Amino acid sequence: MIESFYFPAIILFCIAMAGAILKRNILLSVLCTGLMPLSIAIMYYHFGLTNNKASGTEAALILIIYAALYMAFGLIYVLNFYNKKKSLMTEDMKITIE
Amino acid sequence: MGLDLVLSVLIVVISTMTVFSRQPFFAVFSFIGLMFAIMIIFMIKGSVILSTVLLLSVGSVLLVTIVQLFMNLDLEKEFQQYYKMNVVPMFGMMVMGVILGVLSLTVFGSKDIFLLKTSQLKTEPLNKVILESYDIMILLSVMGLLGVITTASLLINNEEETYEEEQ
Repeated sequence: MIESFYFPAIILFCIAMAGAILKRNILLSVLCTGLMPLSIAIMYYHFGLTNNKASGTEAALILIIYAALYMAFGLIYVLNFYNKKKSLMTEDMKITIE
Repeated sequence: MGLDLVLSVLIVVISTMTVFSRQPFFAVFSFIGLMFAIMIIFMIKGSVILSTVLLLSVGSVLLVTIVQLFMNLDLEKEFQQYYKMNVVPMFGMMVMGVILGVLSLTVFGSKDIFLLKTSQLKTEPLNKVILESYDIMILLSVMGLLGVITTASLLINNEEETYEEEQ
């Protein structure tokens, strides 16, 4: 199972989800949420490879692009937030919303 | 088998380091390392297009991070303005280009491009592979075209913001 890359992809997804839920740091939350589609992309690609179908690669490609977009815009917003508030914690984000 | 196992362990270790690290910038750079590891998986498994796109996305994330780090340093104001004007459009160019390139591939391209393997680059003459995979050319041309459009639009927006700030 390990050599098929399903197992590391599942572990990666679980770690990323745990980090996204548990972490109080906005930057780490963004990174963890960006990791989740990447792990699903690995699964899709491997599925397409084993069944010799192009659709798995297509789905993986779309997921990778989604992850890249999410990461990039997330990083820009997080760094702008840091420039304004000088903090990366979610508690300070609440103050901004109020 | 051996390399797969090493890569699997590496992915699990680096992802744990990314998620549970206390230093935010350490997390960012280990995340970039993780994306490189995933890219190596796609390269080993033989997908040309996935490893290329992942390389582009890793590059864009790295670019934004490094430039933002530079912008946070205490540099001259004009220098900062220069980078604000140029980096955001550059980044937008990469992202928009990749998205619309892939859309164009999906709509107009053939399915063969998604099954192009790195092993084919070794066994077949390179010219033949490039001619058969003309979709890559579509991808690159669309990327370039959209890059120009995005750069222009973002530059105009930035100039308007600067003008409003001056007012």
